Amino acid sequence: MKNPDAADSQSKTADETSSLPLSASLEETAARFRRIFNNDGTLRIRVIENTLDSRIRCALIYVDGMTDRELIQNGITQPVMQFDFALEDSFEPAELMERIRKQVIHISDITVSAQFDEMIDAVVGGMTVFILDGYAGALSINAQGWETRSIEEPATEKAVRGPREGFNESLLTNLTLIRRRVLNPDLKFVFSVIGSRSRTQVCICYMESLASPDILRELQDRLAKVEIDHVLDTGYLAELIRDEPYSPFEMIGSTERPDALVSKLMEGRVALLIEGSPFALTVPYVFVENFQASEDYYINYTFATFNRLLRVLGAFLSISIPAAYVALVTYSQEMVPTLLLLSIASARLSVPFPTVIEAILMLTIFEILREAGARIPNSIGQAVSIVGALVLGQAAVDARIVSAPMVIVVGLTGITTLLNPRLSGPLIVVRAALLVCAFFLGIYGYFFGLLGLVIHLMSLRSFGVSYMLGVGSIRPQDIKDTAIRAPWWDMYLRPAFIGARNMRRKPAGKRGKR
Amino acid sequence: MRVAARKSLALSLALILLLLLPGCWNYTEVDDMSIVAGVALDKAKDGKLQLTAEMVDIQNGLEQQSQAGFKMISLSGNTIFDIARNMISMTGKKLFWSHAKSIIFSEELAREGLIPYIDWYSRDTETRSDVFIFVSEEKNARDVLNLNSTTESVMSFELAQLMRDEKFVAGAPVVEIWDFIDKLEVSGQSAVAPLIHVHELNGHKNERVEGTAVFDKDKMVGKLDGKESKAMLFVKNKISEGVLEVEDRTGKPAYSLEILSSRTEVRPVLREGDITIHLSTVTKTGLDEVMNTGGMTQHESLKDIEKRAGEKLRQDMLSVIHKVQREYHADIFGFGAAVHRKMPKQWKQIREHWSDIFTDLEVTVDAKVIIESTAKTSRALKLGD
Repeated sequence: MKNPDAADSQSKTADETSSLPLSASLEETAARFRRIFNNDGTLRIRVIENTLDSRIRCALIYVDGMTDRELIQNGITQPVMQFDFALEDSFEPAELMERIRKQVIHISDITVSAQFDEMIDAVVGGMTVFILDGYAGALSINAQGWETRSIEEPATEKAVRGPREGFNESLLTNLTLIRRRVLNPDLKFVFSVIGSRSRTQVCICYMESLASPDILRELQDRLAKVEIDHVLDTGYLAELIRDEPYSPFEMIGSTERPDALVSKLMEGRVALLIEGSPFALTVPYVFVENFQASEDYYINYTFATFNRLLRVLGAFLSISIPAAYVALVTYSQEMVPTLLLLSIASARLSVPFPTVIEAILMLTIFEILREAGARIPNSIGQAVSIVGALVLGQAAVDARIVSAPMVIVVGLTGITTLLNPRLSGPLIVVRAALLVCAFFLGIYGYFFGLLGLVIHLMSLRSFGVSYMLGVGSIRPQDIKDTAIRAPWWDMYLRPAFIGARNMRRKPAGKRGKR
Repeated sequence: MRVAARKSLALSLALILLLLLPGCWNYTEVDDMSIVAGVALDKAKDGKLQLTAEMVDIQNGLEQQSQAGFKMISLSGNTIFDIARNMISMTGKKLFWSHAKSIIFSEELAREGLIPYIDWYSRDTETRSDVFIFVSEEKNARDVLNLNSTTESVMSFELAQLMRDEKFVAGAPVVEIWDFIDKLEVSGQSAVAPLIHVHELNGHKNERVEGTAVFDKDKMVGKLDGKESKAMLFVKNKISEGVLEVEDRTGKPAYSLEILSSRTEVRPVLREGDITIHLSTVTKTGLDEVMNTGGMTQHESLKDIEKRAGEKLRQDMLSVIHKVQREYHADIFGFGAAVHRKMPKQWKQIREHWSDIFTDLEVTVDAKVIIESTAKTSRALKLGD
């Protein structure tokens, strides 16, 4: 373990040196860089001289691996070395620097910097700093180049129909993917930096004419208040800036799909992307978004509606099945159809545990298998399913450790949970809570738990917007994109309270063919 | 701080009350109880009550997956609840009554009056009021349940299934216990219950539900056989399916009419201070069987059959009404209730001595049978030359 104080003192000395004015001497500047990047083997300081005039001595300072070597060689090193400056005996270094910037270097993105700390930031960020002996200033040349993952179909949000591009870890690439879908200067990208040590680039993205200024300001305020030393994924920020920090439900949306992100922007939402994470955040987030898949908007609305209703039913079943089963079998046996009760009773015979213990046992085993399946390499994934299905399912029933109906209950629960990958976390928590309620109070407890869940959901707010927006509304426009998906020609308004700044999406009821 | 303390106190109080108030303390595992399928009540030799419970044996059902097994226990005692609780000492498991489907009373008990034996069943929280009620024609009601050793199935469930399909036979009334109790309490209407006996032919024993036990108040006073029961159901407008048998011209039963729908209206008429009841029945049928070689079209028109069927139905209905009036004095048809509905003022004056009035009540019947179709073919089978 490193001593945190030592790290602090080190950065302090760096700050002291960087605040000094820039020296005109190339050697001195290079030495300062070496001191600051002490013990960093990736720093490169390349001193070059013009082949025709050896008075022109320059140095390139960059971090290896963050730069495009070929670009540096062809765009900077070669032209500077070979350019015929035809200098007189005495020359002004500032003029020379100006000529180099304007006439010699082939790279387009160049900024002039006179501050040492600016130069350090530039080098760390992958820029190439160009200094000229005798001139107290520098050029930051953008010859960045590093490996990124290619643009692939996102694994978490697959779609049979629809765009297959997904975000990757490069912020700029991700912004490009968004920009390509909205060719309109109305789309804004506002950059800032978060993380006192990691200095991660963060970009807030929104449509100026659609996004609510209140929500935008709220997001900026919350981001400004974030105090953290590093940010590796938007998950950090989502947890830091979310409403209702103790609720198991997600209060901020996240997506890996540029098309999904753009559709949120077009509803008036604000997005947040960071360097190094393929997951973009969207605020505000409402409950029905948990059931929405981007594919819903690309396929026929009847089928999309059916799929959504399935997902809602799946979520309901996944929290209800174990609790309802336990309540019915241990309290309200009179509500079970006679023949079903007989088969449950005979299956439960000689099973040693009470029904609720059985349920907890099997649900835990299912979650263990799920977690194991998610963590292990694909090559041994099959082994997990074999162990799960055969050894634990079949054998446990044969050995009368659990009853067969319970395996069905747990299997159904598991499958219905998988219908809603976004909700799987909250569903597990709610399911456990309902199970406990049902165990103590039977059917009454189960319904009491459901009631509590609804009250909790109704009390949630995300960035000032009610979490259950549109749920239970009696206005037809409000429910057109909730548990059902209305046809596009009928969704002429944006969701109320989110796109309030400009509600009208399109002329009402206009179809293409008329 | 004080607010927080008060809040948490209120919350914990609410939670504790929540646990105590709902009264859901009947936690039981399904395998820790004996599921009662049906029960038979007899009078034991010493004058005590004997209760025989048929229970589903889940242990047995486990091995032979096809059918659940059964277990019988019998115990006598003074009150039903006492017996039911004492039975735990024989089964080791608490008896669970919610899934019981049938309750069979011996004729002896029925003739003494059923109120004492029905009360527990309607009062207890676990028992259900949709259980089917039977009166046994055998010496002991338990003999019917004991048939399960011959039929190899849970007799009570079989009886319940039988009652669900009884409408196709229409040879006995279908009575659930709530209905029976309802009839006991309502004035102007007497209760009935189906009769059950053990049917034996060529050594095969089977349960058979046929006929009606007629009750006056809660005491059984007499029986109707299967045919009379069907006529009674016509009078009570309880026929939805079933078969009408019609004779041909020679008086030989030759035609079967499948009842498609039937409707009977009871109209009390006040004539010169006396109440008369007018019944009109319209039965729609389909001709489903012709048991003569000549074929119906050659000898008789459908109109003839309709006419003869209507006349026979009218006579059957009248004869059962007269029988009940004369022999049992119990208004099982609900004529009193009809008078109550139509003439509430008159009813107030006569309700006290309705059973006397019922005995001498004049009833006219108007029965009409309509043959709507002749099923798949319009002609009879003919012999070739």
